[in-house]
Formats: sequence, structure tokens, C-alpha cells
Amino acid sequence: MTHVVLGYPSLPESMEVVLAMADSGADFIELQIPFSDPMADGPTIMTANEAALETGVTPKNCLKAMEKLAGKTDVPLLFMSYFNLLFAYAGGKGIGGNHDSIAHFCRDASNAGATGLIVPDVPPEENSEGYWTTSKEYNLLPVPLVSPVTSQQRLKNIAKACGDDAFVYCVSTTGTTGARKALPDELAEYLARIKKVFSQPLAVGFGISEPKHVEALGEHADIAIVGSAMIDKISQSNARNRISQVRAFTRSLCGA
Amino acid sequence: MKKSNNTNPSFKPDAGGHYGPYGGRYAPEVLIPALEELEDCFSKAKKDAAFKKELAQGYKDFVGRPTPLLFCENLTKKLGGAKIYIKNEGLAHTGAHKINHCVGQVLLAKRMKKRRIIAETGAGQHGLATASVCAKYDMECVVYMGARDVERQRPNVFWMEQLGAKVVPVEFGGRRLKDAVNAALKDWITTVRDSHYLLGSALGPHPFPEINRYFQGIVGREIKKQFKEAAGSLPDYVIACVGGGSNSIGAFDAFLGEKKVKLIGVEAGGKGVRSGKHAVRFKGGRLGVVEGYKSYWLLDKNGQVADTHSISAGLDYAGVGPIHAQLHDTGRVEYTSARDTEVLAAVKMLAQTEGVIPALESAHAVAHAIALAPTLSKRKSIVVNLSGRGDKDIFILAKHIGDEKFTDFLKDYVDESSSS
Repeated sequence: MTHVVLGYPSLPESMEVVLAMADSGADFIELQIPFSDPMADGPTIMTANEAALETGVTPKNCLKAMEKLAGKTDVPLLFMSYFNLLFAYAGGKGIGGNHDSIAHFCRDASNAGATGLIVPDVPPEENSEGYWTTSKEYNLLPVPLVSPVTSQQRLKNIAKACGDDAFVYCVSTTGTTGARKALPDELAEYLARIKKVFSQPLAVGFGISEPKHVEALGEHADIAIVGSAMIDKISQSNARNRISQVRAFTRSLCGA
Repeated sequence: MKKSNNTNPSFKPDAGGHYGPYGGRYAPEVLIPALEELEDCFSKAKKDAAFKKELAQGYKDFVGRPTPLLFCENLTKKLGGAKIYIKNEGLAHTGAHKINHCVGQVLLAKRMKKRRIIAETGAGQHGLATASVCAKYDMECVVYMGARDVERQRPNVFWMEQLGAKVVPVEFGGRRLKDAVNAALKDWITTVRDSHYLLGSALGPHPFPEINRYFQGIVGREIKKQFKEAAGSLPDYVIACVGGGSNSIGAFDAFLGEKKVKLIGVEAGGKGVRSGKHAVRFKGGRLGVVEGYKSYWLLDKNGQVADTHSISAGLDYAGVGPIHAQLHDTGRVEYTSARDTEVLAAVKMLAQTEGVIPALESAHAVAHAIALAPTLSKRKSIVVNLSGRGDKDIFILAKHIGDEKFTDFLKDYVDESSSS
């Protein structure tokens, strides 16, 4: 799975990047709706969020982009963002449980063709707004996240709360997103622990940045998530060679 | 917004840290175990006599508690209305109330065997208090501070460094308190196994609001006791400024069940709500979930966190602690705001009538008391929680007052420093 910040470097260019990834072998693509305070993201993705917001991109624009993209590719597209943008969606009116804005967002995202949601700052315990349940009603799979410091008991609780429809997003290490040279030593042991509890496919992200990482993951996980490294490629390229760079990098990751 | 029925007069959270619809624990999975560990440690510590003894000793010997309650006789006479008292947290060690929760949290961190403390700071008061407590209790200390606040509050940065802390200017976003919180959270996400995030206000994911309310609650308890000794009763009003909300919840907590005592929180009016340059969450804000908690936030129409403005770095913040959100909706606390210009006038008036220079943050509460007192009878009483002293604001004050001699002094000082 690859990651794109919608609106970075511009909305049309980020959309071209998505299509280039899709026809170069990406199995899933997560489209990030940029947020002013992306808590779990490291410098690369945070800077891309800031730059995207500078261009004026809004959640509504991102939904339109999703709709266009989903019409052009069969690769499953997911939305990734932070909870406030769902919660404040379309004015976010209402006090208390505020199911309305979440349902509103989920309906629109589903209609636009999204297949799942990755929102790192809403744990399964926080369901008063209905994120974990409403999304499923609209055929969107909310992806559960787990980390190396998540206890066995908590893994069980998360598995129970989230069901086994979507893949489980395994954060590879304690830390924010960002390209890293090597995979953590204890990764295999950690993933084995996750497998005991979750029956669905495992996706591993945070720090996966080179074909050899993807290769190394192969025996332990089902999906490799490449985010910051892809955005580094986009940042380092120019308008003329961007798409070819993205294609080449995606192919190198998928060929591994 | 609608006032709801108050069935919980002490405003305690549910098991998940929700204050009515507010608060909660909207944190990435990697932080949840640390938050659970902290919650567990805190609930055990509260019941542990040895912990309470250590805390009481820290309050007394290191912080210098109790801080005095001063009757402002001259100011009262000048305004000709209610009697004004100030609870002078400016006399707490390092010059503000922030040290109360710093001592408490460092003691918790020690219980959890953490060796490293991360903190964010706005005005620098929380960072300074954290750096001091870390030096005293032998902890490594890293303080994140918005680059713009670093510029505004250089003296506090200098002192933090002298105390052995590493100060990291945050260069992203609006380069202010919100961004410092963000940077501190990112550090914590990375170092969660051996670091404690010493969050500096009554906000953030559960259990932080409750922890800081507990450690700041000493302020209100002292006010209650001292006022009783001075006047034989309860005060009619308690007023405090509200940024994130730590000093105000500390001052209010002991009075939440005392319905006769009116509680007023004063937000940063900046250049006025209409100007858009302010931090008045309860007028301009709406429900949001950012930085791990649900509360009133200043957001743009798409849900992005909005820019804020205040003359005081400590109140220049887009969110407000979730306990305040509930106190607001239930009507238990009334929230108002004071503008930058009113704040500057309040600093001057308190300095010249009482010989006390308030921090710009605290001067918001003073400004409201100055406006309120003349409208009340002389039999009424107001306690202003003076959360900090104003020494740190010398540069901002001199600039706003337009003291040319001070500017000349700075120029001469720079010339002299660079030539020697």
C-alpha cells in the first residue's frame, strides 16, 4: 500500500501520482486528507500536509478527487486522516454524541468510492461518535491500528471491537511516520504476536522505505505500507519526471 | 449552547475520562499503554500516604506554599465597589502556578521509573517550572517551545537552559503553543518507553486533565482556607484567566460544589472577537477533537485548527481543557474575555496601587475584576487568582508602553555586548 497526501504538491498532481501508483502495481493506496495538526506524522508527511493546506485543498475537494480516481482504477482506495476532519465535517454541528458529522462523512466517502478509513487518533474505546460502527454501515472498513507497545490483552480487545473485515495496520515501531534505514530488530516477534490475535491480513507501516524492507517483510506480513519514502520521491522530483519516478519506485517496491 | 442539567456537582469524569461529551482519550495506539500506565500510577499515588507526604513537602519546601492571599485595599478603594483579593501564585517558585503540577507529575514519573521528561511551553512558565523541578528531582529535561514564543520569551529560554534543560524551538505550523504540544507529542510517541510527557495544562488525553486538576487543586483549597481566616466566609467571586485552563481549574475546583461562589474564567480577547485575532474559544470556537481530547476549539470552516492571537503567549491557544467545556455548558462557570488593551491597563493599575506586577496572562483576570468590582456592593468580595508574576513580560510591556529609554538601553546593551 502506498500513501499520497492529497493536494501535495497540488491536487491535480497528487491525483496523477495516485493513478501512476495504481498502474505500477500498488495493491492499496491511502489518500490522506491534509490536516493542520497531524499528530502521528513525522516531518516528511507533516510538511506535505502543510504544503497541501497552503494550496487551499479542503476535505470536500478530497472527496471529489476520490470520486474521480475511484472511477479510473480498480485498486482499492482508502482515506487516511485525523479524527477532527471527520468530526468537523460539513460544519460538524451538534453537541454530545455528534453522530451526524461522522455519518455524513462516511456516506460521502463511500459514495465517492473509498473502501476504508485509516484514522490514527480514534482508538476503539472512543465510539461515542460512531466512527467504528457508522463507517461499516456505509461499507467503509475502519482499519484498526496496533503498535509494538500494545499489550496482548489490548490486542484482544481491539480485535473484538473492530472485527476482522479490514486488514490490521501494524505500526512497525514506537515513533511517528518517516523513512528509516532499517526495520526494527524485534519486528518478526511483534508480528507473530499480532497474528496470534488477528485472523485478517497484516499491513505494516512506519519506516518501510526500500524494496529490501518490503522483501524482508514478505514472510511476516501481507501488506507493506510505504508513505514517507514515496513522498520523499515526490518532493525530490520535478513536474517533468515526477510520474516516471513514482512509477519506477512503485514498481521497485512491488517487484521485490 | 444549551445548559444541561448538572447531575455531577464535582464534575468528575467517567471511566474513560469523559466530562459529559468532552475530554476522552483520542490518542494514537502507541500512546495508549503509556496513558493507561499513567492513569494507574496516578490512582494508586493518590491513595498512598508516602506519595502525599512527598508532594506536600515539595509544595512547602520547593514551591514555597502556601502562597499568600493579599487584600488589595488600595485597588478596592480606587474602584469603590467589591473588595478585591489576589491569590499570589506569582510568589510560587519560578514565578507562576505551573510548578504545582510539575512537582506532582515528576513525582509520578519517578514512581513509573521514567528518567526523561518532555514538556511543551507557551509563555515559558511551564517550561521553566519543568526545568527547575527536573534539576531538583534529577531528571533529564527536553522542552518544546514554538519558535515565535522563543522570540517573545527569550529570558525564560535562557533560564531553562541554565537549569540544564534542552529547549527545542518548534519551527512548523504557527510556531506557537499548539505546535509545541504537537512536537512534544511526537517526541513522546517515539520515546514513550522511558519518557514521561509532563503536559502543562488541564488538557490532552485522559488522564492529563484530571492529573493537573488534582495537583493545581491546592490553589483553590488554600484560597478557601485563607479567605475564611481573613473574612470569615466564602468569597462571592473567584476569577481566573483561562488558556488551557490549569490555573483556573486549580482555583475553581474547591468551589465547584459551593453554589454561592460565582466562578468566572477570562479568555484572551486579543484584538477583539470580531477581528479574528483572539483566543476566545467559548465565543468563536466549536466542538473539535485535537491533541487527544474533545472540547471547544477555534477551527476554520473545514475543521483545520485556526490561528489565534493574544498579547500573552500563555493564553494564545486554540483549544481549552475539557473540564472547562463542561463547566461552560452547565453554566457552573461563566466565561468572558479581556482584550490586549484592557490587559495592559490592568497591569499598570495593579502595579501602581498594590505594588504587584501580574503576568500578562494573569492580568486578564485582573482586568475583569477591575471592570466587575465597581458594579458590585462594597459588601461583596472577589478573589483573583494571580497565576503568575510579570517579570518575564518586561520586553513586551516596554514595547507596548513605548518606553524609548528601555529600547535605547537594549540597543546600548547589544552594542556593548558585541564590541566586548
